[in-house]
Amino acid sequence: MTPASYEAVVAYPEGTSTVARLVATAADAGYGGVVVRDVRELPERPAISAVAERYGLDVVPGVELDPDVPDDASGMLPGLREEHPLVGVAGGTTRINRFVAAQPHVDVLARPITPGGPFFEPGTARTAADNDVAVEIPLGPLRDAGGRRVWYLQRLRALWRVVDHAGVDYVVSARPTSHLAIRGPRQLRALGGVVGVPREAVDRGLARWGTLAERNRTGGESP
Amino acid sequence: MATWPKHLRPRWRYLALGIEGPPGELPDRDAVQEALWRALRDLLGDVGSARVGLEVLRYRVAATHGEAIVRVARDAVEEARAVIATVARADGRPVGLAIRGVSGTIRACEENYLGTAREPAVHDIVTFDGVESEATLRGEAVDLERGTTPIGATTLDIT
Repeated sequence: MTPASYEAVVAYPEGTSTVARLVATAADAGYGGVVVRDVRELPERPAISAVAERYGLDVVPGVELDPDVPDDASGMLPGLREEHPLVGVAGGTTRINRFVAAQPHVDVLARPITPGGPFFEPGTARTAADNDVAVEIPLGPLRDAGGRRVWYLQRLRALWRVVDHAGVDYVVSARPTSHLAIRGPRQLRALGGVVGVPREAVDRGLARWGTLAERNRTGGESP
Repeated sequence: MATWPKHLRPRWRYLALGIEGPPGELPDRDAVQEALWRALRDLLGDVGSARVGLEVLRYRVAATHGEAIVRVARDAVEEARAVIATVARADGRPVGLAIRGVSGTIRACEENYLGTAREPAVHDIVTFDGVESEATLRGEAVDLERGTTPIGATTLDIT
């Protein structure tokens, strides 16, 4: 049996759909689980567990920091994993990418490339591998066509080559902020194949969110 | 194409699409066709466009949900999936296109994936996150009308 695919979502109030709507839509689209990227600002109800039970999916209450400079995040990191089964930190600049890759308390370096940002550096991938930090392969910006997309595609192709070569762990996501932006695992797999991220890598990256959360929940080693 | 020898005729697959959008703002058939062709050209260019096809054959739309059948070349289903994944807007408004299934004939596509229970949408006032809002309810889905950005919720979120 292949492991379940997960999508990592941005929920209301930061996004425009609630956790419940995102999870219900993800279930219809073929996902087995959903990572809520940051649960800190969610409304108190419904509880994550109630959503998971209603729609029959694993729902992972994650946390995702988005620091402007490394100093903003460094003090908070050690304690986060005790409260959350998945800890992400958003990168996007060379400086923050390097910082996040060096943090053993971080599970995922989120958004290492952005439309408008620099290429991801090979040295950063090696650092992430040394510290067991998974690098996100972000497919979400491909939803927006336009002049910037060619530019983004170049960075995405380079990111995959660097990640693959360094043998660093990775996750894949289209980072939906609305239920309308959820694309099923087979669609993302096909999209990866067209843009230079192998389809099997997309499968592995979608499933990796779930096994990362499972590792932290059980306190064990990476499967 | 009735006179073409059988082995030269184009072979097709039929994709069943589910269409979602903000209540009352679902795109019409032309807007979805235009969005698909634009996305196809942006992602795969003219040569890819000619190869894949992506023609809307059936289209039905109600207040909050729609469905369509889209025809693609038999050996281009993966590319079609990729293209459909990149469609975020139609006629300037946000839209979500889900692929429900793929069939070898239009009839099988209709029977297997479309025309599922069409629950009517209901308009009501609900309380969400401590504030009363107008909302459109359909099955589990609740679409809240809040200023310029509608919010997607479910019956779990409202009181």
